[in-house]
Amino acid sequence: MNLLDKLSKLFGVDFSKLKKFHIHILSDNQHENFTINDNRKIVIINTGKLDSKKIPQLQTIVKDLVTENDELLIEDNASKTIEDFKEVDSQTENRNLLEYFKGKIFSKDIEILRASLYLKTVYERGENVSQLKQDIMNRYGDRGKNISNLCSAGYFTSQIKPLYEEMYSHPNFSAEEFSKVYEIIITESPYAVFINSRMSEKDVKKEVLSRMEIGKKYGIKYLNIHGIGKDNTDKIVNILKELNSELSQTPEITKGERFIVVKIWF
Amino acid sequence: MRSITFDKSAKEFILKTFNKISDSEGYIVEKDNPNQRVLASDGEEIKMEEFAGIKKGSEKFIKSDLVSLIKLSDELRGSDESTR
Repeated sequence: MNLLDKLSKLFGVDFSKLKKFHIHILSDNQHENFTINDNRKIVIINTGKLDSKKIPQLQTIVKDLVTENDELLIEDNASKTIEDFKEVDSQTENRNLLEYFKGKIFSKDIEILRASLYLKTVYERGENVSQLKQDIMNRYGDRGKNISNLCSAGYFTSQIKPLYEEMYSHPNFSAEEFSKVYEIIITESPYAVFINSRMSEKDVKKEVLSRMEIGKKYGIKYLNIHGIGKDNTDKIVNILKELNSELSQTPEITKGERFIVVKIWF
Repeated sequence: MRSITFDKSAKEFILKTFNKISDSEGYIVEKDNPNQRVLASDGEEIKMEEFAGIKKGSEKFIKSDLVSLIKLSDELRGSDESTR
């Protein structure tokens, strides 16, 4: 008995005219026990309204589809994330950046960068990225957090790629030397500091001063302070006044509706 | 790629279909042996709230975090290409 016959038997309806269709399962008290919509392409089955005697039959159908027919059983939101990721991941700009860095940085960092480029795109669409950020951090720790911060701020394109090209143009270029500098950027982030909502104003000031010290150590005389959201923006603006005596020139402030970037020189 | 999708509300139904339940800490376990926690494709235990599906064939449990979904996407692309 094929799938259509099994479904016909289960619901007492002739499914034989359906051709390419997709099964979606939910469980609530609102939908009918089954509906066919989207031009007969989706069969929605509601287990909440299905006669309890029929549940084992449906379970057998689902299990057979997965174990014997090799179908993927996936939660709706996860399926949407995968489709969205595939779309973003195939964009030329992202492909080119990942290709550029392949072989130049660790393969694990390529993985992180790939996930971070997706996070960046979702953020730029104005959607909430806190869970995506957390996912990257949970899997890759501080390194994941740093790479996604640097990626979101565009540093792989604006700083790290030009840095590689500059170093490569020298006759005595060595990949090891680039790796060393890259490692400093990733672990110590001397160009940038990212303010998060858990940081108090005191923490922000301490972090900025610490990054300035790191920058000085490597001969870097500027620092970009990034913040997203009103609270973080306010914290950054407030500590700027306190940092005034440490700065060599007036800070450059770029402000948008949801973000602030302040470049300071010291 | 052929797939069956399910809503969050149907998670319990899906797990029961594969003889799984969740324990008092929210981890997915074997219904017949609740001391045995199910492992996700990353080799780690998986909580009900993280459960995002089952990969065809070998009953590989999928987590809903971004990194797991990227890996799944790559695996599916690989298997789609190999069946072309």
